[in-house]
Amino acid sequence: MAVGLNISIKPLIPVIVLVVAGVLVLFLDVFGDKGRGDSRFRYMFLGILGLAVAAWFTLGLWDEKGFTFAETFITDKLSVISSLIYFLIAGLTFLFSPDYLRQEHRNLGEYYALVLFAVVGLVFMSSANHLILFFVGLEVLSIALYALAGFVRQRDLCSEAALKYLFLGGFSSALFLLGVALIYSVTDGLYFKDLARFVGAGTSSLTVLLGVSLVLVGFFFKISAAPFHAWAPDVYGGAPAPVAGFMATAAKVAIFAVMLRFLGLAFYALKSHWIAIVTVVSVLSMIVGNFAALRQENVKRLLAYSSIAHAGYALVGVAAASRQGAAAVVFYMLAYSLMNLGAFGVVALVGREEERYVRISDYAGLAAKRPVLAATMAICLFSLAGIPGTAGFMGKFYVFASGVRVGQLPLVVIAVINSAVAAYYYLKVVYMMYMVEPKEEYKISFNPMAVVALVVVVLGIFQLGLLPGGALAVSYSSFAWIPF
Amino acid sequence: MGGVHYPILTVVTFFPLVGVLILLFVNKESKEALRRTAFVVTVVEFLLSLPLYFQFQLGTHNFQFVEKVPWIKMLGASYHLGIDGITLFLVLLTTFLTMLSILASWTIDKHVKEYMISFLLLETTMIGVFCALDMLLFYLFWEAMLVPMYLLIGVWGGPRRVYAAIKFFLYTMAGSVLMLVSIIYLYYHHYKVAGKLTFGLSSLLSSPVSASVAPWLFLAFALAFAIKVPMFPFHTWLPDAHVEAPTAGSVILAGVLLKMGTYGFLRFCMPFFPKATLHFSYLFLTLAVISIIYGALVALVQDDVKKLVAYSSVSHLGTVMLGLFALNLQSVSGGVLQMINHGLSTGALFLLVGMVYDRRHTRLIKEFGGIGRVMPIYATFFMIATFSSIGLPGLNGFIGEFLSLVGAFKTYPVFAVLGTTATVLSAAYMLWMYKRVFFHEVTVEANRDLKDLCFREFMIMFMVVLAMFWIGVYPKPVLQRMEPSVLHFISQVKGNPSVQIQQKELSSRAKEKLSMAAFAVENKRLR
Repeated sequence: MAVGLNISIKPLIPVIVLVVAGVLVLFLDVFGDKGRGDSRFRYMFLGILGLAVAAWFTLGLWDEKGFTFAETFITDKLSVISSLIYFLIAGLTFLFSPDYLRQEHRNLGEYYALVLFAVVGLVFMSSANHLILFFVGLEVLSIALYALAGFVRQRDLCSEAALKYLFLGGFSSALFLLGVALIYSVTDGLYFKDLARFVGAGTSSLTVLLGVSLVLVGFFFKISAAPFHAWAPDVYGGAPAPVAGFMATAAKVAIFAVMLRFLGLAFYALKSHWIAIVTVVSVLSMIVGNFAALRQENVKRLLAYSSIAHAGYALVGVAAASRQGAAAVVFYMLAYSLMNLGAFGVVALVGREEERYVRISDYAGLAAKRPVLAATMAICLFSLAGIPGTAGFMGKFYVFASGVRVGQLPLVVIAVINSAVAAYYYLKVVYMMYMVEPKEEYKISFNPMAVVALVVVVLGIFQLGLLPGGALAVSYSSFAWIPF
Repeated sequence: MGGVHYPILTVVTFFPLVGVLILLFVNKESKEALRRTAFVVTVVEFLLSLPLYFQFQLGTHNFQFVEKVPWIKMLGASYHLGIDGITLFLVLLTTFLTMLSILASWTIDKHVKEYMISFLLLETTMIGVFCALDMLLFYLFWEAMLVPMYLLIGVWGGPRRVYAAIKFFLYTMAGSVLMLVSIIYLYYHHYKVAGKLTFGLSSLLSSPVSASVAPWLFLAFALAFAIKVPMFPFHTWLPDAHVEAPTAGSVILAGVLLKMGTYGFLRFCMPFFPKATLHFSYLFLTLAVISIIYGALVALVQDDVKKLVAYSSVSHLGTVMLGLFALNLQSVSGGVLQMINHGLSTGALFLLVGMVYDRRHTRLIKEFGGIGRVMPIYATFFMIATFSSIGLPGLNGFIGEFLSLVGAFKTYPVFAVLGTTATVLSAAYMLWMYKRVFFHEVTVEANRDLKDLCFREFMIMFMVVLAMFWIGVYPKPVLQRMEPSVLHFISQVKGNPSVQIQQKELSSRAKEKLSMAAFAVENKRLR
């Protein structure tokens, strides 16, 4: 197999920018003058600047299509769009972070650097045309996330979260690698194209099926789909709230992008096999996530279970195995990222020092004391519940529509019933905020950066919910290569 | 179409949102200013909706004041509004009742700003539901309506408000999600048949689905709407929601929201699946009759006035459903008219119950007695509303109920006879309640110095009663505007184009029957 060693650096500029920004943040942390002025925002500004520059260069790749680095690194609509979504997620996470970290006395440069490096990993994941490059990206992401999950190390829950994530994450990586090895043992190549050619020739074997299944298990683990979800509530519950928001969204976006490449490009010929697997996992995730969430008293754990359920909804789009389904998944991920980051952002604000106020009952009467904050949370929750007019509805609608179109009616019916069940626990929080008398004064300091982030989130939710045309068209155009 | 040169439906639908924007800038503490602003907004809204009536073209079933712009090109969804002779009155009813509801909400003292904002949001979504001719747009309004109503019940409701609010929300949502799946199915079915992606109502109607799936889709739609109506056995959310909601919330729930269910049957469920409709008509007629009788019997034993009125709604809406499923001109016209009438009469009753609740903070029948002497004006209005509700000739309630039963008798005599018990039973529970509350001596000391209606309350009731008499005495303008749409609906379901010919006969024939029936019923009552 002849692969030209063409090395074009242009597609990598965004990544280089991010790495440089990350390193600069670290230098600033070490050599910067800490005593002078209000220094809590300087890392954040530098980080956001890095993301903005990277986004600018990424936009320059909008119409590019091609490979570089021995064809392992692909540049296409999907990779560009995913990258932009990561930058958005990271930027919003940054806006929530400085005040949160300061009150935990951990406002350190390495936090921002780790997030930037995690984004580098994410970009590599969704731009990978080769399973090993994908794996490298995955590990860059994972190692950054292990550190971030335990970032507030004086808190036991936080360290526990990091440790759990490390062990289980390592386990899933091992399974993933085993799957890759099995595939390689038969196909003798790990480029997605090669895999497609190999499977297309009709020579599939039990080994390949096993390999594909194990790779899928690795994916399912990272998107916290049931039955590989058990870590999620503990990790999202224990990790610092902004980090939990970042983990729950960014990793999902990347894994779904890769899953669509892996299943749609490389192993499309085996679709009868993987559709069955994805369908089962989708149903399990929705049911487990929603029914477990019904009983949660802790908002972070509630959102963790809800994110399991959302992985299930998005998998409906994967199971549709169509271009529209794939586009729906990308749109869903964008919508989900916005509303979930918004919800975790409010959790971070209401939680205050040491995240002492993260039970649902701590939200009692929030609407009376902090009406705008409560309304923001309510909008995010209604969007998560899929009320029309919000991004969450359009996402669900498009995913379910793709399912109906290919005749996956039973799966869609299960999904819509689940989304009705889910409304209950989101309403529980709304009920607490609006219909219970406040027990205490909410001493939540005004946080201008978080306000900016929440405004972006709310505008995004309504934009995607009421006028989703542009985003739908873009996500549809990112799957022109899908052979179905 | 129509003589209006501006996008009137958009204006009517979204003007309340302008009100919301204004309210956002009014100080939270100046409650009186908030109330006045909201009231002015709803009055203007009502006035804005009046040209719909005056500019409405007679003699056509086509949608009027149509507006259509692409909304989501990718999905083929469009922003498509329009009304016909049926929705015209539902829109007017909505703007009318919302205006009165705001006036009736003067006694709300908690979070006035949020209350008024929720109410105006609710108004936008309700009008949107009736005007939308694009299925996706319809669904958007249909579900979005849940949020403000949930808040209205849950924040400003009675003691068990939270339970009632969540029950209301989940019931409705659970019903509608399956409808969403059906809508998507129809959408792709149309794409397969006609090769065009669209959510347009008329386009989707043009490609009927195969007989094997139609029943399932029909049932999915029917579930959503039957919960909303509510039909027995899906009615259990209603007593909770009605009783716990604040007065204005109950008025809107009974007056407008329940109509969305019957409207859904009329506009979507039955025309989309005519064969399935006929196939299931016995099931729905049976459920309608059960609703009529069950609702009335349960109302008979209530000791809480508001609950009594709530259960009477189940009964009245059963009559509407009976009329719709009997599928002939009289029965459907009657059913549609009954939708409007029920909005007025039940709305009036809820308003009245709310007024006395504001004074005494109880609604139990046994707490009252003889207050006719203390509050004569109140008692008079209550009397009129009662008569309207039980369908006394000369008031609005009579014509709708009568037409739907006569019509039903023509096609399904047994069901009609069973349904007619409603007239007797409703007279029984309403008059018995009236007697216990208003007649005889004052039994409870606290009632001795109850104040009669204030000017604001008087004006509210005066306007409702005016509307009642108008429809009761001179229903022609209403029936006239409805007829073509009703005929069109019947031909959609029965697939009988010749039905158009009957159109001319209707007015004279219906009038004749009406006068005869008025005579007969009056005789019966006098005896």
